[in-house]
Amino acid sequence: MTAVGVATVPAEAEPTREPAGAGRFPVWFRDRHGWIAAGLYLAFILFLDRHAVAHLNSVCGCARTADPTQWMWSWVWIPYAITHGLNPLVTHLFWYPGPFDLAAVTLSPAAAIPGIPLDALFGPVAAFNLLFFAAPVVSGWAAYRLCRYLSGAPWASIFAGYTYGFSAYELAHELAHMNLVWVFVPPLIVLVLARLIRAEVSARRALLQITGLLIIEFGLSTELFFTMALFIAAGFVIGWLMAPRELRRRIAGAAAVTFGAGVLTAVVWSYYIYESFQAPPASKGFPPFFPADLVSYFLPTDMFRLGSATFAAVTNRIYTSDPTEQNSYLGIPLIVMFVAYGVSTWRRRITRTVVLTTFVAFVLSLGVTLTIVGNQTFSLPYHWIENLPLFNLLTPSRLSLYVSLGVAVGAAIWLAAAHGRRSRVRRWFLALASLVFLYPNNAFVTPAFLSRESDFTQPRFFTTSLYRHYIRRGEVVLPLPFSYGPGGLSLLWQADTGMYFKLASGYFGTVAPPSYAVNPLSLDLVIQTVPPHAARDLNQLTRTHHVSVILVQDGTETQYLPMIRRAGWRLRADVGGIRVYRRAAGGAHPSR
Amino acid sequence: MRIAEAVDTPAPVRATGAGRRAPIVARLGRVVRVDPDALLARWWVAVGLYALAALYFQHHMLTHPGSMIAGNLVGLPTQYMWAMWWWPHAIAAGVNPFVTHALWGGAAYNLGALASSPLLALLCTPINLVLGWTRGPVVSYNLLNLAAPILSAVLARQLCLRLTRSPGAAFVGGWFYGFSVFGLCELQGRLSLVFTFLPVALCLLSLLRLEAAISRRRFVALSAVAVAAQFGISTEIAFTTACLSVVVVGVAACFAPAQTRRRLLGTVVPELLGAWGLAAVLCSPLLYYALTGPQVGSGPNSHLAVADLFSYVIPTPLVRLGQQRFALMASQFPPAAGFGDTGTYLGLPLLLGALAAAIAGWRIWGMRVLVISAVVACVWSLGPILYVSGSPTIGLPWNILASLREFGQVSPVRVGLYVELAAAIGFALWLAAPSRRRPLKWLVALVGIAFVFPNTNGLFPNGPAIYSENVDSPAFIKAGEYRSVLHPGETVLPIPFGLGGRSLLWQAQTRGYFRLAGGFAYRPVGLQQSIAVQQLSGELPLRRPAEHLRSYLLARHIGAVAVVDGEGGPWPRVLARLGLRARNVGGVAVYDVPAALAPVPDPPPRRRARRRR
Repeated sequence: MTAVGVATVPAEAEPTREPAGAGRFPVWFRDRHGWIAAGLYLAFILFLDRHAVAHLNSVCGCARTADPTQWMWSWVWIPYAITHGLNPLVTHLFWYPGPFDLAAVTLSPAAAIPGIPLDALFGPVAAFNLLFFAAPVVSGWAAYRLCRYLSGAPWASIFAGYTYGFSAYELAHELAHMNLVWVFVPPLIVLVLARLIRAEVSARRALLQITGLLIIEFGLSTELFFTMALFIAAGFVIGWLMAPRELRRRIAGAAAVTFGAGVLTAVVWSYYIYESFQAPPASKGFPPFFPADLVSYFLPTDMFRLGSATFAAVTNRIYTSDPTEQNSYLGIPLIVMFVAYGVSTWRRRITRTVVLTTFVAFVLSLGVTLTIVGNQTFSLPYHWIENLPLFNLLTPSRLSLYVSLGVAVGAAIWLAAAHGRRSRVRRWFLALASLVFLYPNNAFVTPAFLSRESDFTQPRFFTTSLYRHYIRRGEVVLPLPFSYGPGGLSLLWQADTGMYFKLASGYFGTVAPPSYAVNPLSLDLVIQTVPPHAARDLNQLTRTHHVSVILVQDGTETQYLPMIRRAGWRLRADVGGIRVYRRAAGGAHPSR
Repeated sequence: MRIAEAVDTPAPVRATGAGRRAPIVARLGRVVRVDPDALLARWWVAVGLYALAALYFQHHMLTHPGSMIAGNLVGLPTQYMWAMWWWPHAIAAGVNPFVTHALWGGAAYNLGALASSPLLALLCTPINLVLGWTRGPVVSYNLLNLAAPILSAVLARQLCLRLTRSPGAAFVGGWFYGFSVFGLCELQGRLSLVFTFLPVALCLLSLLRLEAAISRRRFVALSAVAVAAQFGISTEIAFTTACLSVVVVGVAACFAPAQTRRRLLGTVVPELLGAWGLAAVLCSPLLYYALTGPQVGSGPNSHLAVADLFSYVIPTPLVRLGQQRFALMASQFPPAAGFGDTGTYLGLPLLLGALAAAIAGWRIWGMRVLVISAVVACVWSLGPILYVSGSPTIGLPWNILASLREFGQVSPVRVGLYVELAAAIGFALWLAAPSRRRPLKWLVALVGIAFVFPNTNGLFPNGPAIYSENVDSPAFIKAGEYRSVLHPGETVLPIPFGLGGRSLLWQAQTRGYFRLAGGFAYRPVGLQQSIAVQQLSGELPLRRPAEHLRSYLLARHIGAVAVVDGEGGPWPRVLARLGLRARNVGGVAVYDVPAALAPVPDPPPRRRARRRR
């Protein structure tokens, strides 16, 4: 038991006799169970995404949407910008003529640090796959570290790490969102703070560690950075209220250290922050549209194998067509474990802090209005903050991440606290049941997002040098499918060619720049409707943005062909899976 | 049962509780005896408060007790008013009271298989004789509706008092059971189901017997009276109580300490079986006709009248608090049960209090019995398929039992009553448990009561008032004008038909002057497929109604058709097509039906030509 009393659970069992040379390695490195945890998580994600593993550069362990192309593009763009002396936070290469402010969107420069070399070595899809494989492993391992520290029980912590690393939130965002799958920072910061409060680490060292983690988190996702800061603050307030006087001083000290780390982070990212305010946000949250339904914590979606078909009639009424926002499912056994933890150890301060902070996250994740099986009932606290700056950019259901973390911690401590064989068997039975409940559905298929793994094979037109024969360097291209419409992977086309051409399209968030948004065709093309006035709109769009080439992917041409013909564009080539159209008066490309 | 041990923590002595023997919790050092007079005074206060609440909830009928009732199900209450005439009439006339020929055009109709509540009917005879048969049945119905929740609440209070020794907590427990949403639902028109005293009475008596607080003779006699009374009011509740008694005994046998188990299985259970046997002998004619008499068409299919999982926490329009916000959700509950039968709502405070008691006292065997029995009842109430907000999901164990005839006739949703009883007991235990946060607990109790407070002045989404219905009869009946146009014993077809109207009350008010060509909700087997009956009931569209009605009039030897002014719908035109002429008498159009009714004339040629085209 700890001396301080904030955590009245056993501290992590450290090895009493260290092997020779052990001092050179940090504790986490020497933790055998940590390696086991990481190995198990890695094996599991590789098993889940086995098709992507087998076809690393053509099958993506994600859904075939425009979302993943943002990061694949950025891993080409950032070195391109640096080598060409351009500002990496502002681009003119898509949504031509731009400029488009990348600091205001989900660029994830921190993910680019491993992404750029991996992309250079293996290609964009492989790089994306490798990072997607790593994300749940690292996140689960981080949760394992925290739970191991708080519970002292390695296997309970491995279990808890799994429930966090492969939570509904993680699985949902593993469909598309590179910026949101890296969630290892919250548990690690909590771990550092817990150690700081228990005086196991000096304030200076904690400051360095927290600053480092915050810098990484900011670089991964400003949204996660903000929500994490919010819940750390909530944890401080709740912990302070629960703590005795002497402990309050330490909590206040830890809060000051965290604040200092936040200031340092802001300094490091100051230019990025400055740039992000230079343009309106193109990627925004949807407070009223994506709340976590109350039932969604209990009933599985298509992403989980057990019960998804049985409860489909209910869950189909809960969720929108976007499965990446189905973040909340915990499963009844895990909820029972957490409730049992809360009830059985309610007198402990750590329990109250964990439970109340989780409860705050839970309530906020429910969004503006309490929704039960799709029925809106009454207003919730989020209603008061939904229009505040930054809060209006959040998606409430994503706050379920912190519910997952709280539940994982509670479950680990509860499992570790089992006394006697009977109690252990019962608790582990529940833990195994929750693993079964949380087992992902490999056969996940939806009309909107297809499946967990999808074919990202790109047209030969871009993967070879064919495009050089039909497009001049720096020419403005209108790609079809357009923007983030179904099959719209034009950012990846551009990245594949090493930024050879400019795009009169793009995708970093659903909000198009005003010069595009004023033309109704930009939305019509996204939702794949071609109205009668489409030809006129197309000419207006192409003239306004100096488009000289239209590239249409094979298989999608039938719906666009009448519009393109009526607008006076003629087919110049049908090669490498792409149809190249130019204006009738323009003639063939001289290089042809 | 030592459920009170659920709160087994050292606590200061509270000056409450008394009994014939030392109360259970006295052994825990928390209870001392108080003056029995004080307890009696509290009893009267509790009864007074329950009575005031019952009066307030049904205040619409106070101003017109002879014509207004607290209900909404149109003709359903008139079944019980009719029974108030039939049972004493049949006994006095020396005819078999279990089979009537006064309904459905003289067909043998088995009342043993229906909720005719002979006990209530016979109890009300003196009132009806004093007040007269015009006002008597309605006033009696109102009085019974008033008495039922008070009786249930008082008994539940006694049970909770026995378990908690806290009069305040017992009062709240009694309130939650006596004025449960189940009761509010059944108040809409099912008098037989408003009387829910049996499960509480049996629990209380068994508890007393387990503690050897009453003698064997008294236990058997009182239990037999309670069971027999419930048989005489509602065989459905008697049946479900019997089933869940088996569950309770089974669970108790698993968890009780050896000594208690011996006493339970060796003493209480055999004596209880004896009481059930005695009651069965007392009610044997009723049971005989219920099981072997002429068949009556089955009622609501048990597969359909089920509780939605959310119905335990989402209020329906019957409850004031939150009913508007959750109206959309409530409207998605399985429609077969409807708002009139979905009485499973507990409200979050009651549920949380009961859960807190369950968690705190899980190590006590009595609490386990309570919780497991409640879970069984809850699962039963959900029916064969789990409905979540109106969507069917997984199969449930009830699927297996529903194929049995006896179980198939039970509406699972009504088993929610036992969940409410368990929740009320659990909440009382939680409230009575010593705690530093007693004021907070009492606040939760008050909020809990507010959560189940009825929506007394509310309306159903489709318009009608929830807790008030006018059952006033036209002058045709009240002023005795029927005598001028109807012959004694003549068969009359009333429109609105069956439970769509109040013809059963008319027959009771006229003391059976005429026979009815309609009747209770459940039809004789021979008439179940009758197209005319289904068209008259609005269950089938009107295709060739004149032909079907003519066949029905002739087959049932109907002498007259009585159509209430303004409520006849399309039927006056149909009757005109049959060549029948109306005589307006006291707010009713009476059509004399000749013995040889002419065939229905062919439709006009123009219409036929249009059809051909």
